Amino acid sequence: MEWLQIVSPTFFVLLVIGVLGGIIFGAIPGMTATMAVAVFLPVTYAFEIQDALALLIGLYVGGISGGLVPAILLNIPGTPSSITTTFDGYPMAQRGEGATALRIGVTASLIGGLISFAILAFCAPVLADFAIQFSYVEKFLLILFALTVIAALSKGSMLAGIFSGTLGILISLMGTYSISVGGNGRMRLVPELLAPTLRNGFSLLPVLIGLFAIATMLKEAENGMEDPPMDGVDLTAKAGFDRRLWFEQLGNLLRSSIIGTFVGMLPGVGGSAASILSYSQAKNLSRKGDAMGTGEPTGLIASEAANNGLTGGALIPLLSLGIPGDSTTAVLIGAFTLHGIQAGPLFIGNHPETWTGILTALFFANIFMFLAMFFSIKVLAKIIRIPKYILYPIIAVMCVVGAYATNYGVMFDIWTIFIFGLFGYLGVKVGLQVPPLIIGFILGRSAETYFVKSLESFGTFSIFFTKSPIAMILWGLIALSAFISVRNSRRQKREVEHGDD
Amino acid sequence: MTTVWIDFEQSHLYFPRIIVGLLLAMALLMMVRFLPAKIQRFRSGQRPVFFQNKSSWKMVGGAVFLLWLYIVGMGVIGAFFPNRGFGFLIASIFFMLASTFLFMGERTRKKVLIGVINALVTPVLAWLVFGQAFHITLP
Repeated sequence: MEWLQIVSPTFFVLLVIGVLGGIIFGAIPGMTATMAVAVFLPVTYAFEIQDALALLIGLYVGGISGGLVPAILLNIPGTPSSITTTFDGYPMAQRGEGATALRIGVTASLIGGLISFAILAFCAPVLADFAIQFSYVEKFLLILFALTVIAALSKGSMLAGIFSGTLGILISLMGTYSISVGGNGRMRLVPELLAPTLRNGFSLLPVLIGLFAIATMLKEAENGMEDPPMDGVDLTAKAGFDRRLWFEQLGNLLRSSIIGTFVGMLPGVGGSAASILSYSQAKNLSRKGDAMGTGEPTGLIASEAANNGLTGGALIPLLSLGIPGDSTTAVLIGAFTLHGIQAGPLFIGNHPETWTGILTALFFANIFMFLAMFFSIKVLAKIIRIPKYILYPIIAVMCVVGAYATNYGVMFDIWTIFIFGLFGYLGVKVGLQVPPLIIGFILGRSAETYFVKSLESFGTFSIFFTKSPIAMILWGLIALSAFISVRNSRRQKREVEHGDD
Repeated sequence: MTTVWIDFEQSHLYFPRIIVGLLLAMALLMMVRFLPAKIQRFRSGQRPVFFQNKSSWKMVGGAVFLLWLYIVGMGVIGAFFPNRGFGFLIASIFFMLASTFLFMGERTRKKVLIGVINALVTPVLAWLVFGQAFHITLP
């Protein structure tokens, strides 16, 4: 019972607060788990790393799970990852089975979360042990691989995805080429005027807060913050909970959870990709696939098991390689940096108690999420009615606190959230993609160090191909993801052309 | 042929130059691929839709302006009371009041009352919890 020594009452209190806060964020359409984690970061300054992570992981799990409530009751996905939940959840609610649908969704979420927890506990240490042998050459190739995967799976144009990722790298390079990583300590990419303020470039947290919270606020301002409609939802019918259903759905449940976990492992790919992939697999493979889309629990289970499976999966590359699996874990990197911990291959070995704390938090977050949501259906239906004109001003104020605290009181950090809020809002309008941009921004400086140092010590480009068998395997993977992305974009194009006919 | 030598004095520009080169190449590629179709659509009378409905630019513009004013105001007020967080407290109350009314849309007495209470209570709570209890510096 090693973990019992690590956790404290504070740990559990914060975990419960996190889960409940996350559910609220997830349940309100337009607000996401990523935003919840970004907004709550300042609260964690005052706590030990374990307790801070308990709060953040609670928010993550709660945020991903909460999205199913408006998806089922209003046909509006609360978070992008619950888009496919609307397909079968809302028709069920229209038939008067809203409460049943919510309970099925919550249970599928719990199982998805627990399966991904088990995969995380097993995979992350193995992957980290393997990655410890990596030299700068392999580490650079790994980042290159991460960026090609994002491009391969990006939602819009593939070229725009790669462009966004590269732009993220460029932004991260602003400031001095730090002596601490072997650089020459000289400035680049910064106008003379801003040289004193941008000596160390833009700080990660204000950038994230700007892109995820302020940009979302502007987007919501554009959409209008009117109250969501609440028509035709009847929760008075008694919720049935049929055990036979779960025996029937065992295969679907396992498959969807595992799909979710593995999609989560791919860097920069979020919950929406996980649930869409698992939904389409269920449609192809399940006996009830034909009925999906008309209020069939199979679809609901596929979607919800997958998006909660994502949580454990996205933590795997973060904790073993230092590469975030989705945008929420990108914000978690910020929390690590804040507490002076480096996420990467050495993390689990150097900080075993933090690693155990994360696992404990993830396990109990899923349990608390289940208990909180399963037994409070009526309250959940009210949460989605909290008006946004109340919430967004609060969020803006929290963002300011978080940004200002990042470097212990630098006004420029508050301007950073403003700049990146505006940049994120306008950028999306012209086709930029935020997830690749963020991953590029986080990995950019490391990519530079690994690339330049490899060349400085070996003096030849060919080292990236000949250094080790691992390097060659990584090139194989890079080629594979490039191939998939080209094929996907061709297929998309063809579908669009057919659609025009 | 593949050998390289990086001058240490200029090494801070080595990687950024590659990245800028890649970005320019991609920008060019995107222009070649997408611009002709866009121009054609523009000529045929289709204008790009930037806002979903006409009134929404007022909301967005208002939100951006309020945020800007909030940050400037915070600094100005904060300069009068260094290290006490009053700049944050006072500016937040005004910002929350203004933005609540901006986002509210149709006003009813109940909505206004809740909004005003929220705008007064939240900044005070945040100031107490973060500034006083957690000792986080506030502007």
